[in-house]
Amino acid sequence: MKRPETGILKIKRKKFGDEILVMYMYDGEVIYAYSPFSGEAIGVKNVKDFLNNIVRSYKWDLTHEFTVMSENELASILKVPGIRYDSVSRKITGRMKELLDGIQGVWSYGVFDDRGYLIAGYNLNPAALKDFVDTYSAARSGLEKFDIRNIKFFLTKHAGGFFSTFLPIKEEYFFFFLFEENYVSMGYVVSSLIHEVRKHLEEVLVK
Amino acid sequence: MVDRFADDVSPGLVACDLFDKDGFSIYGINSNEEMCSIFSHITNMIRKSLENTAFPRMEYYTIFAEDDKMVLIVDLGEKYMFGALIDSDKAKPGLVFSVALPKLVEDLKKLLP
Repeated sequence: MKRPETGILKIKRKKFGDEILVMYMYDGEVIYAYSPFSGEAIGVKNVKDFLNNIVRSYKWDLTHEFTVMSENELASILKVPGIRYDSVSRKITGRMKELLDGIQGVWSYGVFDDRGYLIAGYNLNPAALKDFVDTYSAARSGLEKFDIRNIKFFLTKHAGGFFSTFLPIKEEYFFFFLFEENYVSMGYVVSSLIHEVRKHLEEVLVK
Repeated sequence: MVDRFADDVSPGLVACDLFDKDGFSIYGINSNEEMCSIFSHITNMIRKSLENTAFPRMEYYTIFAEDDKMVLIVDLGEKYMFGALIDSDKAKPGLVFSVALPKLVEDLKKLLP
């Protein structure tokens, strides 16, 4: 088995110029990819496919543009609190892929801990996660004043037909999911999908 | 129009307020100034988070909580917000989101500067 690799990949493409992509690899599989500098020049879904193709076609050792970095080095470059990469992240990644990868209209998702450290995700800016956790904490303590102590989840409607959900898992972990209503109905997400997600995440995260 | 929302959601409406960005209530049913202040603050936090991530602008958010309680906050632009505490066992979310809320938002946006 290959050792897990975390690092930065510089891809040169004539049409779009240089793109810097941050990615996680484990055993030859891309489990997380994010472009902090350009989300528009190439859609992240395409980036993911592109990276997967590179992994499949060139097996990484044929590319010399990938630089292995520690998580701390990577976090420092990204200027985010951190990214977790451990056995939990691998398990979560597998479950998230099973649940969400085939659903059209999913723009981003991620699982992170109460420090705002990303554990597994897709097209989710890690810099935002601590803000999400802080907002949840403020809402939770605000609602406690009205004897509401347990938040099940947030559902946010965004402009342009987008919805997002924010789901706490036992106060320690969080799940975020951004989707487009034209493809995934809010009713399906609220009544079915997030309960599936919660069930899967609790199985892995809550001992 | 807030009263009409209350009628549409009845008997599930516990309380609601139209309030400004500083958390002061303009009109409410079972009005609660502390709730307005708290959710004004939280809404601003969410707005800021979304701006930092370049996610699409927020229109409203809902917190689904224990005992079928549901908090609904509508962002009505820079100056105003609308908040409601709803018992979702008595007012089904489908009714709130598909019927009552769109009517209220449309009316308030016409009315408010």
